[in-house]
Amino acid sequence: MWVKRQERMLLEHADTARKHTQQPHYYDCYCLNGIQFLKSTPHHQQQYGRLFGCATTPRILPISASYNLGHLQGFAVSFQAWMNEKFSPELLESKSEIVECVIEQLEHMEENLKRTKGGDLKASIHRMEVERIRYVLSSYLRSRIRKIEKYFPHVLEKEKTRTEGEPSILSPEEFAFAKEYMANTEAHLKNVALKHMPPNLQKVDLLKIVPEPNLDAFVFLRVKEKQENILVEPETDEQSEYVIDLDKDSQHLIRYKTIAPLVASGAVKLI
Amino acid sequence: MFCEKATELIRELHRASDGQLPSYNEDGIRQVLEEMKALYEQNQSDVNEAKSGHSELIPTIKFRHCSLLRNRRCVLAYLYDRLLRIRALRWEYGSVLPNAVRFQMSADEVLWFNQYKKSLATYMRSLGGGDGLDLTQDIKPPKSLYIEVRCLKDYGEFEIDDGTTILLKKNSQHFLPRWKCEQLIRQGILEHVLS
Amino acid sequence: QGTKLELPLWLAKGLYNNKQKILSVELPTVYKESWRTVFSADANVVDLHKLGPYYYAFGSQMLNFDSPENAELAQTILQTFISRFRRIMDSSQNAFNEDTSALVARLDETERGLFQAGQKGLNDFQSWEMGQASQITASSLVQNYRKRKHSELDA
Repeated sequence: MWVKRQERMLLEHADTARKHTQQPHYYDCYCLNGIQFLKSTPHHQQQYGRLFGCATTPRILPISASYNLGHLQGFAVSFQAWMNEKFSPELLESKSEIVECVIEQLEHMEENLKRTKGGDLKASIHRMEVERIRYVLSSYLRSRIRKIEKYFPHVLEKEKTRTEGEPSILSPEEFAFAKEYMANTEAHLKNVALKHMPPNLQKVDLLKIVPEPNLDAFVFLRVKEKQENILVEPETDEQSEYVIDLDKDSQHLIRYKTIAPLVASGAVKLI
Repeated sequence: MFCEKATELIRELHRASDGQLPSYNEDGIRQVLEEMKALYEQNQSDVNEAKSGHSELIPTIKFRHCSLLRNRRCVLAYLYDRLLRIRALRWEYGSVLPNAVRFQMSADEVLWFNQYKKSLATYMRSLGGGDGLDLTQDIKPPKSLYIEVRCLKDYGEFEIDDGTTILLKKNSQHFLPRWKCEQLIRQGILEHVLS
Repeated sequence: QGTKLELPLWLAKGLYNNKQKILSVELPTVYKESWRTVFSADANVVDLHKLGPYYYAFGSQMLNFDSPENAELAQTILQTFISRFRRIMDSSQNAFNEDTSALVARLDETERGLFQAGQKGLNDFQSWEMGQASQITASSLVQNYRKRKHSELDA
């Protein structure tokens, strides 16, 4: 209950905060095809507003006419990928294409900005937009790198045992980084300690000594598509397992393991 | 009692629980490794005895083996926890560490740190064309393009985006692009002043 | 045979084996029946830190030894946690800028972790409300390092 209360307070507060920071009128004028994107994801507006303290979702303001809906949707998806990655205890599937798309978009915007003269109002609103997108992108990649470092033996093991056709949880660059991190750490432990130990103790299984992600952690989520008959494990010995339904747009606090497949499929999102 | 040196290593890190890096206890590690060697040798000879019928030695052998495993666990935990702290240094201080922090590390740890720096740099360069993306920046959501900063120590000349340079002198106050000074704030050279 | 001695947990765990009975384990006093009764009467008044700073973690480890009291022990640990949790949560959410040391001193390490998490949540929320959340600050390591240097100079 108390968490719900806090969550509500947060939401209410975000509302007042938004009222105080009403954007001036010209902000909307430059908005082109962003509208469609805004309508489709009202919740992103809220989250974006809460985060950056401004009224709405990024309304990417075109300097040239090169923005298209694909880019904007890319950003919406990456925003969700970021939230999910931030709140899930384990490393999620890699979204390399989205990351590439956002990076491309950023470079494009920076390129355009270089061509405009300084001091232009449009340019500085744009600059801000670039900063915001870069923050989300960096924060997303950062939380991934952190999980890779924290759970490297498990991440690499999962990658190794992945069946063909199953999506990879690592991008090629992340995979290279994880392998180097593992080799570096293994070499250090070996050189400093293990090779000076008795012969029967020189081998250790990093999978056993490095902690695993805690899939029993509880997460908040909001339902995007109605789900029926989700099997919930009992909390105590006396309880038996039971099923629940998740209604669209409802919010829950639940054990991550129970709904991990739904996060992966995009049926629910972590908040 | 065995394993006391090993426990002492762990305590050392536990006392510095705020993430600081205490100096590397080379002597401690050496002593644990020596204890392990002695335990192992004693066990080797007792195992031979036990094989020839002295089965009453088995509990003693087991006891020593437990101690060996315990020692190994403590040494690895000590080393690994230090690596995690050293890793954090890269994110907190940037790639060049202050000497005082550097001196706390062993030669092997410096090696690990340099390798980590290299892996991370390779990864960050791979993000997008050009210079890549520095993930150690943009730690907090941006609220404005420019921020007010106060200089906490003499830093010298500093180039801002449009090519102009300004002089960062102790106690001087400036209005600078946020993305330019984030690192200096994290290093404690500038202070972000909220209006 | 028949000797009673105190061993560290890791050693007892390593030597404990159901088939060869090298040793049997007796529960430490806090986990015995007499203390279990105290906990079930009112767990809130107990100074868990004094009794064993890792009451829950250590107690759970004790379940590794097949003792006939295991079921009751597990029940006591769980109930103790449940009945103390409410107070820890409430005070961590409501004590803003207050001296909480008297309360914290009586908490087990797990509980301290929870309490601090709650306090951090409260403080972060307050600073967000006051619009300070966006302030870029020096890294905590740099700050601590500076503090340490100062105290060295003072000494």
